[in-house]
Amino acid sequence: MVDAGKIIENTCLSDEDLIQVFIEEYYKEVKKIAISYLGDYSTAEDIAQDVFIKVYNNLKSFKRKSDVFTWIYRITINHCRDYVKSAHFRKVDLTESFIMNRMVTQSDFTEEVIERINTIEKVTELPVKLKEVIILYYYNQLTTKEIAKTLRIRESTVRTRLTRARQLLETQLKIDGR
Amino acid sequence: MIDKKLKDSAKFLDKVIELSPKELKFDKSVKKRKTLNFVYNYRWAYILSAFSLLIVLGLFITKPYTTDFIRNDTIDNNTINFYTSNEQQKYYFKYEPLLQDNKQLVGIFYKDEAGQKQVMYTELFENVKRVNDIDQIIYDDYQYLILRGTDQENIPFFTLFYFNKDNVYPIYRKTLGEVLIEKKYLRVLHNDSSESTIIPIDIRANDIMLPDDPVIIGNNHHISILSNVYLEDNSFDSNLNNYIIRNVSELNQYLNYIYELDDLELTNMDNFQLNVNYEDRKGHIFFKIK
Repeated sequence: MVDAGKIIENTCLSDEDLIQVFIEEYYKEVKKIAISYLGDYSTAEDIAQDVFIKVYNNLKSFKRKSDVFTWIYRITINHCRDYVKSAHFRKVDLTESFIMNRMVTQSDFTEEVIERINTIEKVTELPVKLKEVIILYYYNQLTTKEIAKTLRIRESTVRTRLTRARQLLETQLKIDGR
Repeated sequence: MIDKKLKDSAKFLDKVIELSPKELKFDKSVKKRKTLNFVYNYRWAYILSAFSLLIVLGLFITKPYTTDFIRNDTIDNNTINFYTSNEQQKYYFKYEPLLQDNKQLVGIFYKDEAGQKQVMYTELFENVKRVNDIDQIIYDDYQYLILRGTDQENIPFFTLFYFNKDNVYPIYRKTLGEVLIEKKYLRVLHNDSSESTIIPIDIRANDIMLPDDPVIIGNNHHISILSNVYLEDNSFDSNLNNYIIRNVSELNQYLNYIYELDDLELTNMDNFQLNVNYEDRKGHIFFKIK
């Protein structure tokens, strides 16, 4: 894995080249956050693009108080939050499964696949605070300490939210399974 | 079990992204174009926002706060009629004079479309001499109703309801003491205590959280959390039980932990209320600190 922090510190790369390095390193992770946050694949791609524009605009003001990935993930989370609050998001009908549409032509529809799609959809439907920790923990595989830094909350709060989110998800999936 | 499901779904999500790679190349012109498009697309929103802001500021400056209140101190045939602010639904409060053994039945009712009486809330008062006063406080689409009376020993009591178009919540059931109506809040004076409880009036009705009993009862720097908090959907949070807190810092820490209020700051132990944002619901938690 590229140490993006060191690149920023020692680089003689231009900002444009630097942002390209970040895109290569973090684009998929950012997209993962956006997909599972918003439940819409194409919107997630737009969000990911916007995130890197923000990153580019703020490269000079990035004070390296946190790790680069923490910074980029935080921008992503904030952008997703803003988008969820936007009038546009409220108008979008998300009743169709985002991944389902993608997968129809790309993979076999097994029971296993449907179950996994269902799990992601349930994550998408979680309350925001719980959803964020689940996404960062499971989908971006951050540690609770890294999540705490990203969301600027205490580590104990992260653990509490993870527990509550798991309980809620389990209940929701059980209800669906009936 | 759920842990495994989440890990499986993470692998699946990875696969989906791998299967549909989309190269993102950075192009500075994209940024400029998007910014310009955004400004252009939302030009009317900007203009309307500016106008709305002006109107709100105008109202805020010119409208005295107290005009939001309607007080009604009269009782007619043991009944008081009241309406939601949009006057769509008519409700009435009624108490039946002495039934037997100094008991009185009080209730809040409404008439349905067929004109039938429907019950929203009833309570049987015991040891009551008489009910002699009702105050009705209306704010936006919710109301407070204060029922006052005296018991057999001529000691004043009150019952305080919070009321919106869907539900009635008794905040205090027949409690010895008095409720004073201040400009922006109700001050509850308890007969058995020199302390008072503050209940802010400007609560958003749809975001309400009401405790069944005062949430915190304490002594100087030791506070025990004794009760449950009712949430909007009538469920309650039972985490708030028997917790000892020694100082403001610990209180902040505890409340942050329970409610995940990352930006909560209490400045002293004399505060009687907290404004909270719990799971994206705005509301208030009421405190009684002895």
